[in-house]
Amino acid sequence: MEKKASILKEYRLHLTILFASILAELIGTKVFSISDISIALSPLIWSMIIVFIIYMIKPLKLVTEKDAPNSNLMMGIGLSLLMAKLGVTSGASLEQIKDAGVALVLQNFGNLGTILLALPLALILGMKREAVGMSHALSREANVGLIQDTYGGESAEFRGVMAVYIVGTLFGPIVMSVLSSVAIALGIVSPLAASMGVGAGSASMMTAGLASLIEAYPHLEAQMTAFAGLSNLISSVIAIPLGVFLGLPLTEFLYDKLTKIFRRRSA
Amino acid sequence: MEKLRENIDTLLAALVLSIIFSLICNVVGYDIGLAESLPGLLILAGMSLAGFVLSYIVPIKKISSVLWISFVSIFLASPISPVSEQIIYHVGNVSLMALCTPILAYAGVLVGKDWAAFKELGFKAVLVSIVVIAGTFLVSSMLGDFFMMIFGS
Repeated sequence: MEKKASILKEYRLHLTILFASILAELIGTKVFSISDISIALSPLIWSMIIVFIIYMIKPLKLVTEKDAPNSNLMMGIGLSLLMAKLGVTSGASLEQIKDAGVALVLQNFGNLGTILLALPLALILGMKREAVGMSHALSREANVGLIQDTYGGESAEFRGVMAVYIVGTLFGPIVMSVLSSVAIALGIVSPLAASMGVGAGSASMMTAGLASLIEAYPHLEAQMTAFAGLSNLISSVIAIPLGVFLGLPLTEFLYDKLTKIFRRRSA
Repeated sequence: MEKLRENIDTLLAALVLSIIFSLICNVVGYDIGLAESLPGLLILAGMSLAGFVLSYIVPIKKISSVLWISFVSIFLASPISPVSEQIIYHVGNVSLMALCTPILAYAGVLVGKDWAAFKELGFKAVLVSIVVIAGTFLVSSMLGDFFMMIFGS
């Protein structure tokens, strides 16, 4: 009973969150363009920035270090609502996925590919457990939820997943549009396969990547748009099971092996 | 079960708070009426609660609440569910972004607390994030080519 009292007693924290959320929604999505590059700041980024600023203005004492455990708990509950929403969207589209074809479904296991590239790089750069959160998948909302649930919101793994989520949200669309044009220009992958690949990220990453593909191959527009959309859908449906049963175990296994190798080298 | 009884009060209090936050965001940010937003949010809260309860009573450690919630929500919205139509309609009135805004606000507290550690990640985090996106895109696309070749679509 004490616990229940303590979460509702932190009204300063919750009112601050409420204030920040309303303000963030009122600001809405703002797009900043620097020459050709545009960065979209959505309400979710605003709300985080507002609370962060309030935290950093220490004399205010509206939110302090003591609020971290309760924030972690509230975030976990919020993420569970988000998971349910993503689940409903997925369930509603199962029929479409069934008709999408085997290639489109299996191609989404490419989400695991990032572990082989990003984990060694993160370790070479000197990261520790952050590397696990960063490299286990292309971090979207579902992955933030998974890592929060597995390691907690005050863990190094969570810092890693948040870092990739924030960078991905801000710069992901630009990265995806450059990547997809380069990959098809060099002939590394076919345009249809590239349209499946751009679907692996968030909806905004997909839109940006798809735009570059359509620019290069306008006659394939209809098919590429369908492939990208379906791939995007499938990747969000399988994100959690893929992460729980393959992504995280593989990342943990490689983390153990690689850190041992690095330690032996430096010894 | 013991643990569930111990935590249920906190869980319910936090769920009610979360519903209020997302409700307000949904009304303020996406112009969806209060009465239209509430049923969807209550459905989502019910699914979350079901997921938490299942994770407590089914003794499989590997299946956490997050996974249970995914299973329950996908199942209830899928064509085999008798209530899928109503669920999809009401949950459709809840904007995904309205759910994200308060979550990221709480994340702001954690980012503030661990700011020193985040700053240390700095440009390295940007670099790794780009490789994460590139790795996923490239491997997924290559698998796409590979499987299209095999299955000839």
